[in-house]
Amino acid sequence: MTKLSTYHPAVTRIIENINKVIIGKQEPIILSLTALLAGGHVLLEDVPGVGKTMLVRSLARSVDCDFKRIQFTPDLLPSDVTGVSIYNPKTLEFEFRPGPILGNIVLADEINRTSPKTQSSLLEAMEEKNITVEGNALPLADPFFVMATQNPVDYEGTYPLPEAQLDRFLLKIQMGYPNAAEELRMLSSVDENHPITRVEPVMTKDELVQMQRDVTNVYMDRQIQQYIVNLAQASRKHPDVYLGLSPRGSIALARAAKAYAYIHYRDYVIPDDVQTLAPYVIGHRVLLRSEARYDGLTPEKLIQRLLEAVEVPVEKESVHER
Amino acid sequence: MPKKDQQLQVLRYLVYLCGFLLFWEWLRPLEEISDTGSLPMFVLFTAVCFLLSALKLRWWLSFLLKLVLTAVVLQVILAEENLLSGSWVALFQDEIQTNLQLLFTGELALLTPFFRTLLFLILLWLMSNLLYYWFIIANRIFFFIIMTFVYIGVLDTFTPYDGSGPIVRIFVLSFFAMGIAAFTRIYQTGEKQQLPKRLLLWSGPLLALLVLSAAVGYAAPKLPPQWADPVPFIQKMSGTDKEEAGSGGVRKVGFGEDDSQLGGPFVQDNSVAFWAATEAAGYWRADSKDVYTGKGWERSRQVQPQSFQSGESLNLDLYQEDVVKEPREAIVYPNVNEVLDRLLYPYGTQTFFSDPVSVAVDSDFGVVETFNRSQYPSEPYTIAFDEPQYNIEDLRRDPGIEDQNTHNRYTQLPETLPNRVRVLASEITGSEATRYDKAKAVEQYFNQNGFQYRTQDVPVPEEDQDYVDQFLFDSKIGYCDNFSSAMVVLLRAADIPARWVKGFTEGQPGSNPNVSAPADMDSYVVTNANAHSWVEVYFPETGWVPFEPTQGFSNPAEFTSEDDAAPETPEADTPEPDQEEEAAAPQQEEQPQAEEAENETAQTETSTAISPIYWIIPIAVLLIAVFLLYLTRYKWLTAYYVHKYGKERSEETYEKAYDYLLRLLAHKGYKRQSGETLREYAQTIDKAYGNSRMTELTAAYERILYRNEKSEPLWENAVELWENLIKQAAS
Repeated sequence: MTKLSTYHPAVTRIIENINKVIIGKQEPIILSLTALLAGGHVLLEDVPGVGKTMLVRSLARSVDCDFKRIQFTPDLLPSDVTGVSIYNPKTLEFEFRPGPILGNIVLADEINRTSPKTQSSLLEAMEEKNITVEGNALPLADPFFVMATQNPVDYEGTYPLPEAQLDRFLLKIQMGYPNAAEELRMLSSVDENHPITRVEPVMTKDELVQMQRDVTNVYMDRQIQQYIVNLAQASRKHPDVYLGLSPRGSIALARAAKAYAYIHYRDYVIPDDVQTLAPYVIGHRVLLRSEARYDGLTPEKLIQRLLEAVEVPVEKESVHER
Repeated sequence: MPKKDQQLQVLRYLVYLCGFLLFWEWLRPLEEISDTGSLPMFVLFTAVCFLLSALKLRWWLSFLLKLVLTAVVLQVILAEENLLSGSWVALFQDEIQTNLQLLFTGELALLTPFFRTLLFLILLWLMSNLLYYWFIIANRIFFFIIMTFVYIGVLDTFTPYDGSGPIVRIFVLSFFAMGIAAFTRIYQTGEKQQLPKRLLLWSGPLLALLVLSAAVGYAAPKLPPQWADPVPFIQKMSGTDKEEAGSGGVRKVGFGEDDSQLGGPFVQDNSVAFWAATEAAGYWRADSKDVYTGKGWERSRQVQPQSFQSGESLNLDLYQEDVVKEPREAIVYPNVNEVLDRLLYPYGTQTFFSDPVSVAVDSDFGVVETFNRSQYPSEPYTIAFDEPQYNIEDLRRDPGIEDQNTHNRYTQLPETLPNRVRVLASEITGSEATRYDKAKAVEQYFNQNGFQYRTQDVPVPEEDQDYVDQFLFDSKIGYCDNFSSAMVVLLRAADIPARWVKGFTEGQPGSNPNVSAPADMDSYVVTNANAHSWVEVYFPETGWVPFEPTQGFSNPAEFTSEDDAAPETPEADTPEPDQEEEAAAPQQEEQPQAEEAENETAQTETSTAISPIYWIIPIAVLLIAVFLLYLTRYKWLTAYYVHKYGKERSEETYEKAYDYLLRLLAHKGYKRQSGETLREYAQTIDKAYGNSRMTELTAAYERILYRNEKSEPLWENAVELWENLIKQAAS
């Protein structure tokens, strides 16, 4: 991650801003921004207390977006997510009270604790970019960015997200623990006020939307597209894989790679972008055969093997083909 | 650490020295199996080449030095022209041109000695480079060692070369080299640095062990060969010849002393034996032999040369006084490079004028020896001779009664001679009345009855086989020695005194470029391929009359008949030989002998398979040159591409240049993995070379590759970076 050290100036501002409250964690920040700029969503999988909420909140504040949080519990209902119409005795009308999903940046905490019914209401919104409440279709805010978290340790009473749903997340990120030095710095910088108050917006919401639009204009050479396709094909043909990368996964990888290139202040994608993002994009989209899993194969190892096996395009052959 | 590197270098040079000594073993047999002379010169040349390679001079300096060395060696060996004179360059050009033509047309046998020597020197030169690469750079010696053993083994099996001594030397040398190489590897990884002491501790026992095991191996009783001798086996498999067996050495044509073991194939040697200018062309006589042993020819007594003064009569007594003769003159110009210690002379020679060369004559055998020819190698000698004309009527009238001594001496035959030879002799001659007609009948016998003139695939008689008997009844294949010996033996079996004569045919028209012969004489060039043997039959009233039984040759002696209307010349007598080439050759009655001889040589050359040695050297030079070019390909390719892409400006240049860089780096051990991106690879390279050139170069290349940018302007900026990088990588 550190090898690509030149960032887009706006991105640099955001990173520096977030770094005021989060020490270290460069990788999740960059990846979150990648998903945000690519118009995708992030599934954060990690143990509690590593700064997931703080990451999302500081990110939302930096880009001047309103932040909503949904704590998923087993008894949470879909209407708790989308919002509900309540009868107002004064006006004698039903008034719509928007749910938390109508914010710009939504933290869906412990998404696997709630029932599939409620999960799907969120996931549907993520995919469709609008919600249907009492027969009325409501558009979601723009930008709209969901960061869902799930706890990998505690499985009791959880409803694991089905594969089809996982596919809706552009990236799946692990937060990870800070290293000793970072943790030490954390302790010494704790003060009275909630740290989030130190974070000021560094850009407007409109600027963010503009950046998202710019990302779609990043040039992706046919060779890179071919490379992504080759990776997808390889993942499907791999003997240890039960379910390979879906076409939606390929598109996700291409989108993410563009955003990643943009963050690194490039207007073209290089194979390194694809390689760096591959574990985060592909990891939660493939299913390994159980035999392979018993043999100790993990999606990360699988992706590593795929990246080693698939030829990186280094010659301008496709140009001549065209 | 540099000190250790130096020490390692010393060890490698020690192995390299062993390599040279091993290569020397490659050169040693050449003297025996081929006509390579001046071997010490070649070994010296090789040694200097090895040394120059080892000195690590700049390549052009080393090249120049080796070039000069080649010229010097050529000069010393051939001594044709003075090295410093301008004509040398012209000669060189001329030689190269003509020989390259010959090379491309495949007429390898005609290559001049100059060019063959040059090729051989180039071969040695290339070998020194190759061994330097193997021993010092690649540090691989095993292959060469194996090749050396194979080489000596093959030579020992298929040629007369005796490899039992060399194999012991090679054993000690190669195992010592491998021992030192092993020590080098151990030393390389080890920590301690006391090289001399450790080397001594290592090589001392190593040498002792080697010498001991070699001695034990040499002295120990050995089983006889468990496999059959491969030579007859291979010949049998390839169907070369059923008869051919025993020690099948290939001999070389030319004039030699020892005729006691005749048989076997020989190689053509077209080097000049001498030049001659003569008023009457004829065979050049050199020697005669009288005792047939069953294997070859020997003398009944030692040659007893009588010293002779220039101008004195020689008393060669080849014919009687009353034979019609014509006084003639001839001049012989010896070839300085092929000094014969014999004088060649035509029939009827009266005297020599050979100041200052002193000469001794054994008139009985017709041997004219010289004593101090080597001091005057180029001294020509003049011969006055009476060209005889043999009257056929006189020959027919000859009663054929000679004194008992002469008769006994020239009808000698070995007891071992199979009886069927005698039977055949009486069959051939039985119906003829006179000695002349009997002799003619025997002479003609070889033109029919399935005899074939050949120089290759001529079988060597086996231990219990008679040389003539084998030729007459089994093989019917052979060259002049077979035909002439057979004729002499058949005549003797028919009780006609005859003897076996050696010398040269008249040669081909052509003059020595260095001397001008008298205008009224015909000039001839006589090569070693013209060496010949024929038959003389004794007629008491005429003398010794030459006969020519060999197919394709015709008797140059003049025969006259009183019946002038039909002059009975040998040509008229001789039916066309039944070989296709012969039949195709024009043979007119009055055709000059010389021209016919030319046909003969041409025929011999085409029908003779060229000795493999002529092929081996050019092919070996080519192969090794290609191999060396391949080994050093990244050196010269880099120089070429730096030059090319340094100037070139096109859309593809960056791509091609970058691609070559990747290949070069891969060759240098930095191979890019297929899943590795250029950036990651560039970082590896930069880490290895301690700069950031590759990353910079790659960053621009990425823009071309993944951003579809125009490469030309980018190349303009990157070319210097690329050059620096590629030079760093190539060094």
